[in-house]
Amino acid sequence: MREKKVQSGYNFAFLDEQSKKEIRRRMLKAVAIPGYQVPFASRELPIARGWGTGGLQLTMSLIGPDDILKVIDQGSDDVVNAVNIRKLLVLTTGVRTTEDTREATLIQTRHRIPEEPLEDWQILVFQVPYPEPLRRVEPSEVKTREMHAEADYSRLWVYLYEDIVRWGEITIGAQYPVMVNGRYVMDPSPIPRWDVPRLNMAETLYLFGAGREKRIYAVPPHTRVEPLQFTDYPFRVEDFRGKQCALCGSADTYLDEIIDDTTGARRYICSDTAYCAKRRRLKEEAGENA
Amino acid sequence: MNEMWDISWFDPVYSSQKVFRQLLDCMARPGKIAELRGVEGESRDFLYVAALALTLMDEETTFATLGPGWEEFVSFCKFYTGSRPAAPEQADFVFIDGDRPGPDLIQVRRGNLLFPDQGATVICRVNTIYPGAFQAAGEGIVLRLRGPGVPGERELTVAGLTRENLACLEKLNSEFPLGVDTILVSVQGQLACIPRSSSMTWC
Repeated sequence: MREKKVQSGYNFAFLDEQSKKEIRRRMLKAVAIPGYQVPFASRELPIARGWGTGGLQLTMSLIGPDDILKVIDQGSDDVVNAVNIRKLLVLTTGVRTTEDTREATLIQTRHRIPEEPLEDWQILVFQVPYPEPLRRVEPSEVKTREMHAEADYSRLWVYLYEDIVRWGEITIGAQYPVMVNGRYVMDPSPIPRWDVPRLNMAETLYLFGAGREKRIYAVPPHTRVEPLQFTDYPFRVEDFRGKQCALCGSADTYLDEIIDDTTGARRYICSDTAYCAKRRRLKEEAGENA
Repeated sequence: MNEMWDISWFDPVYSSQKVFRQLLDCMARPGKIAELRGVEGESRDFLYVAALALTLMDEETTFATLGPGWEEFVSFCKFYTGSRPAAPEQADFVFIDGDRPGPDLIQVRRGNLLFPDQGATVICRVNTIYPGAFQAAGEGIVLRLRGPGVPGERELTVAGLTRENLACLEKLNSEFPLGVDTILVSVQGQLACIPRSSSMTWC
């Protein structure tokens, strides 16, 4: 165990043990009160606040030498934010990394849930920019905390109602507010609507960390997570009917729209790049064997 | 020096990480049982509660012990974690023997509606924890848990836990989100959690 210690000049996983202890205590409380935002003393890290420091501090407090780590940013393993976070974690822990969702024990993500199903031995850590779902209707932290205490979400419901009056449907795309365990309204971080149903009654533990806003919250497995909706205006996910991934041909994944600068042509590719690559590889192999 | 005071078996970085991950897994899946395998050494009365104290407690926390027999453990915690003893109604962590009456248990902190996370963590030492309903041994209470983290219902059998203490925990958790989160830890190193979000029945 100890021979895995890497010589980075830092403590294992960068954070000092007392910081980890505090974050661990908060995580346990977050899990015990699903959807409730637990305050914590967010630490300084070698990346700026607002760039995933919340998720990073959770990962640093969770990770052990036997973990297999995956870090994604908007579904991609190769984007700068994910690459830098992965580098820092590898430098200070020496853990194995992977791009394969099915292999990772610990996944840190910015704004996506991987397409492939997650299991009970995996943990998904979200980077959260704005943890407070009531902020769009109330600027004061003192007031929003009171509103959560009293489970008073009427102003958010009015906001959603007015959205329908104005636009004919609820216009919140990413960051769609959800009710957790019938008690707390929670911001699921800016994941697309596509991913929201996958928070409900999942196998995996979901942990959310907001570094700049200094909040930790959680959705344990097998927990009810319901998007806020009206019976006559039910929640719906993004509509990709008639579209498919230009690379792997997938028609059942969340797609990014790419617009060609010169021709203006639109095409779609999988947001989960590792899954897309895996599908292409499987296709090729099947082609070779045929 | 007492044998209990040797903590060479506990690596502050790697043991605490392993113990924490098992704790988190059990807290996220109430009633699931883990074996504290990050902790080596033969079974001793205080070994596993000490491992939990070393994992969770530091100078920023306070703790209380309920019932007799904890005096040496109090000194241990003060010395090795820096945590300070406090009255049961103020402590962050409350240690209790499951089979001993804890009249003060009903006083422990449940947090408030603005900050329910300030509710205490109760660390309850028991004899053994078995998965499922295991009454063959003729001892133990069968606990049935429901709520977040539990697909349907999860059963576990706990030996060394009185119905009075259970009833007290249930009462403390009757006003969610206020409440306490309980860690059951057996003298053999088994671990199971009952967060406040769980509803429980027993027989």
